[in-house]
Amino acid sequence: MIKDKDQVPPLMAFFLISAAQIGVGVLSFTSVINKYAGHDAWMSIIAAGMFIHLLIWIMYKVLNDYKGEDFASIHRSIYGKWIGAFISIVLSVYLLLLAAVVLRSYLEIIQVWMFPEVKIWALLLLIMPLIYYIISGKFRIVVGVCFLGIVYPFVLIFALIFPLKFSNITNIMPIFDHSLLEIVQSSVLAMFSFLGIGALMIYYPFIKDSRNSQKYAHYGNLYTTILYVVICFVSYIYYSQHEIKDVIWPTLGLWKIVELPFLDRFEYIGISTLFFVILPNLALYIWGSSRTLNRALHIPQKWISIFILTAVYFICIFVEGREKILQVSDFSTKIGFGLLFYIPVLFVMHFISRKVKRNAS
Amino acid sequence: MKKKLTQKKRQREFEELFNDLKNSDDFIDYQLEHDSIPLCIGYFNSAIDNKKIEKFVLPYVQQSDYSDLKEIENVIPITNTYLTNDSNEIRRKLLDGFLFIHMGESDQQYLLIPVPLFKTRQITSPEVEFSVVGPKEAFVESIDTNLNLVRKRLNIPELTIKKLKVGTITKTKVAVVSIKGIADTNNVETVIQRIQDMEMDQVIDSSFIQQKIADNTNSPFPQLLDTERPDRIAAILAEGKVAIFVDNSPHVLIGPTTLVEFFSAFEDYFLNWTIASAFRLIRLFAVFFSILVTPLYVAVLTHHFELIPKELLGTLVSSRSQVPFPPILEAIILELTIELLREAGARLPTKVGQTIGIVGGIVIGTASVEAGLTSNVLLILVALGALGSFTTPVYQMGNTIRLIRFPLLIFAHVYGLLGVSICIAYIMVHLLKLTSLGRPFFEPVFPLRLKDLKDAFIRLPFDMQNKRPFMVRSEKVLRETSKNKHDSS
Repeated sequence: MIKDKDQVPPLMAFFLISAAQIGVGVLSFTSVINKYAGHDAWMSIIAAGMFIHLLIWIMYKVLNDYKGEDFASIHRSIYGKWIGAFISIVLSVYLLLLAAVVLRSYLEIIQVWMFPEVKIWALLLLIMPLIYYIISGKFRIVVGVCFLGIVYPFVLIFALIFPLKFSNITNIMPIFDHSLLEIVQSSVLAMFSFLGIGALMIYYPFIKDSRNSQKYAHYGNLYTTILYVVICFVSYIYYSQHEIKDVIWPTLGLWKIVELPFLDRFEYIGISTLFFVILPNLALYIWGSSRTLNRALHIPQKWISIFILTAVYFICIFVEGREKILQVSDFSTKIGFGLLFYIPVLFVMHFISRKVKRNAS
Repeated sequence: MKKKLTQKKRQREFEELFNDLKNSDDFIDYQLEHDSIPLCIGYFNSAIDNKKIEKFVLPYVQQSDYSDLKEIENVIPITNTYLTNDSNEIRRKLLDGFLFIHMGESDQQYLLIPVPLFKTRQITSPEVEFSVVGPKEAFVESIDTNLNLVRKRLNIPELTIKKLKVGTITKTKVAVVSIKGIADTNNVETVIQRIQDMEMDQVIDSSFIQQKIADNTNSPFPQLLDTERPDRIAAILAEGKVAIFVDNSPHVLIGPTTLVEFFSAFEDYFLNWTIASAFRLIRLFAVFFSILVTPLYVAVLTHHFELIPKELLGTLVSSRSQVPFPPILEAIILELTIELLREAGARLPTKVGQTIGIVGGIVIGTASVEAGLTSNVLLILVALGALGSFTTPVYQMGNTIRLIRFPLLIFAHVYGLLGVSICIAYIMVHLLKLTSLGRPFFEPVFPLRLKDLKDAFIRLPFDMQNKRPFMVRSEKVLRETSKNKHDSS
């Protein structure tokens, strides 16, 4: 049982959910999701957000039935010791991979936009101790980083006002130009930007009065959805669909035209500030990964986290070049997608196992 | 038989005591005879007030009639005298400024009379936390005077003072003060426990205790607030916090505290809330500016020229065109010069210090720009940054702010703006981890407590300050005024 002192207030579910979702993806998702729905893709985000709401609801449904238990112990009680441990390991490997992908994609942006000559291994030597410093403390610190990761980069939203001057509303006209199927197809792509909510099943016991935190979790997801829709909307009226196809990071392009009397090239500041957006991702994923392994295999969390950080370090060094980064990130999103659709399965399994147990007793 | 033995033992004890005492040259004892009664008087010259002996002890001993110590005790016009025959007691009391009178060889009783010397400086106006409006009293080095200054502001029976002695050699008096029924007993107990657990031979100043009982003793951030204003202590006690008074120290410690409290001057409460809030915001801005300005300069000029608009870049480049150093070297040279000036100014007497400031600030600054060693743009920025760091009302936090600029500079040089971000992240996480007496230091930002924001970055009017800060876990959250007392009844 988690001590009262280590728990965080229910409101923090808001920050935990949205900080886990928002990552480097905000820079690139707009040119990915329009594959099917084109300029109507912003509706796909809303659809994806709704689906995530459903998944959060399901997760709470399952978690509320197990008082104060997390992913590892729930799986142990549903599937038994071995299969439960196996699924926990899959989850933690996935989170590890996700952290590596987030970090590597961020470093790629650094390489492309800021420091083409940067030595990845040296830069990582500065970042890895920071993450260890965060997760070596209590969970409270991870939540604190999530909180700052939402509040502080919020100022970046004001940078989206500048592109409006150069935008053309006809770029997204006419609305509903695409079929429902296309919008749904795009919304599947949009769902990649919402990954990371699965961590809820790990930190659930750390939330005080966790039952009440559900509404805040939904608000968190709502916030992410709104933020994505706003970014998407601004991107689509600024770029035409022909242009955006060839842009890898459209959001950076939006920042690029910010002009202040003392400041040009706002994207440098944007990318640096984005570090505070990916930091919660990294901290939360690596914390979640080590916590799950710790719960499943009973190895001290300190050693697991050092091991995981080393693993992330080497993955980031060895994955070099856009092709490889895309490969790894595709692989991790596939597992992520699998886990996303595994949540409803868990829901069903949970009810079956409860029925079975009730019948047995 | 037994009585005789104990008497002998006692005599030996006293002989030992006197031999010990005479080791120190300031121990004085002399014999005198009055009406053929032999008297022995002894004291530590450095602990007692000679005038008191001449005025209140000697005249009565020499002139009045008496036959034993009891009668002397009755004639001497000093309170708190008493008779004892315990040698340890005598030893301790002599050090506290008592004198003893002993009668004859046969009598085993000693009369102890308190004649301690109190010499403290006058109560002056606060120098570190000066305010134009508001009370002008500051603490002095005597703990009793300091306690009195607070007691006179909080004239209520609930004000509790717990006295402790710390330091195996110095035996310094420490008082833990709180208001019963308002302060959280946990906080009070934590403070007392930590002070008792301190293992130290000397406690010279309250800063010793601050360093010793802080939650994280390696952090550059002070985790207990220190103040020299009795009015601030009174206000903070009423908020439900705990104060630590240390004898011989004009600074009183306060805990638990938060980061933003270090940027609030007590003057903020004397001004109208709109003005006070504006000043507080200016101060916070000054602090951020002071920390970030040189690192940003280094980051931008080393890595991100493109960030600067064309017109501004021209000014910058022309000012830097003569400078042979990279920005980081330039910045570090100037920052160190400023630190040097400050340090020299602080160590020198006031008048010389001012001269050094003028010589340093104007002459060295202008000369180094003219010589082409630094750019004048950076000179302006560094000077402004230094100015900004002096706006922090608490001296110790000012030191921290000056120090954390240097790691930021190095990060900025290596990885530009990204480096600045990483370094800020380190500082933020450190602040998140810090606690003050076990309470989060970064509150009310994180953990987010909207209600405590009423007195953090801005100070809202007193009407809205009707609740004590949540972070002190006061036993009475609502501030009791006659109005809401009426409401609740």
